[in-house]
Amino acid sequence: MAQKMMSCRDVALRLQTYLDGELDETRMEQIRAHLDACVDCGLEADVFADIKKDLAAQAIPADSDALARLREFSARIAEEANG
Amino acid sequence: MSNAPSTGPVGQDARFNEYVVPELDVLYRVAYSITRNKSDAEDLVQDTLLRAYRAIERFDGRYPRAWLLTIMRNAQVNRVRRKRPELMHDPDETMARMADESAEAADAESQLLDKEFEAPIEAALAALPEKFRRVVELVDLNELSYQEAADALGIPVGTVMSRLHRARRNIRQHLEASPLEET
Ligand SMILES: [Zn+2]
Repeated sequence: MAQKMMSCRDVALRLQTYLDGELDETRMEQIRAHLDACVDCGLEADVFADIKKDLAAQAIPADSDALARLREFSARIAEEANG
Repeated sequence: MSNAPSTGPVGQDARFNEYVVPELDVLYRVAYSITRNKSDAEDLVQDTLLRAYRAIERFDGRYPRAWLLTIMRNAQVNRVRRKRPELMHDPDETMARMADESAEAADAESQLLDKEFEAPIEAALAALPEKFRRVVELVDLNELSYQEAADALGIPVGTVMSRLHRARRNIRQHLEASPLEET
């Protein structure tokens, strides 16, 4: 192996940040490799990935009426500033 | 007056359309998550848009979303200050308190809606203390980056991370403690 495997403890410390894609690519790759090889950490990651997915599904649907009004408002700001 | 192409109304409008208008959806979602009220959210976005238009010429064009979220946060702090001058000691706490107050009305309303369909994840989210729920809403529901959430809330990135990670562990415990749904 070219790089030594990260410890479970190191993975646990960075798991959330990994799931959010907020680590640099090297770290992301190290953790991905660990999760593929280690059943315990893999299961732990699945639990939190599911939670994250369920939370994303709770997002309020876009309010198209409000957005249309805000778009109109944006256009009006420019008009009033220029006119 | 300068004749440089990036200044004056035309350049200003072009920049506004390029950097600000594409973020309207995100701005509205974040505003809703801060105010928990549709008309307050719309007012807050309008306020943010006016401020952004005035400041667009000084904006360097990098990370427009983060820039706009910072403007929105300042706008919100000002709105709160106008309404409740005595509460302005800690803007983060003040925003949380404001949200709590408007959330009470929203909660009362939503309790009238059919509880039968409430997903366990929804209950777990609702059970979080406000400042933790806020971070989860921004990052997990509205898909902001840590930095964007930090800008929107006016707190350090490290605080976003610690609140978020603690909130998720809390949600997990909540889900494990509640009876399994039959599927
Ligand atoms: Zn492991």
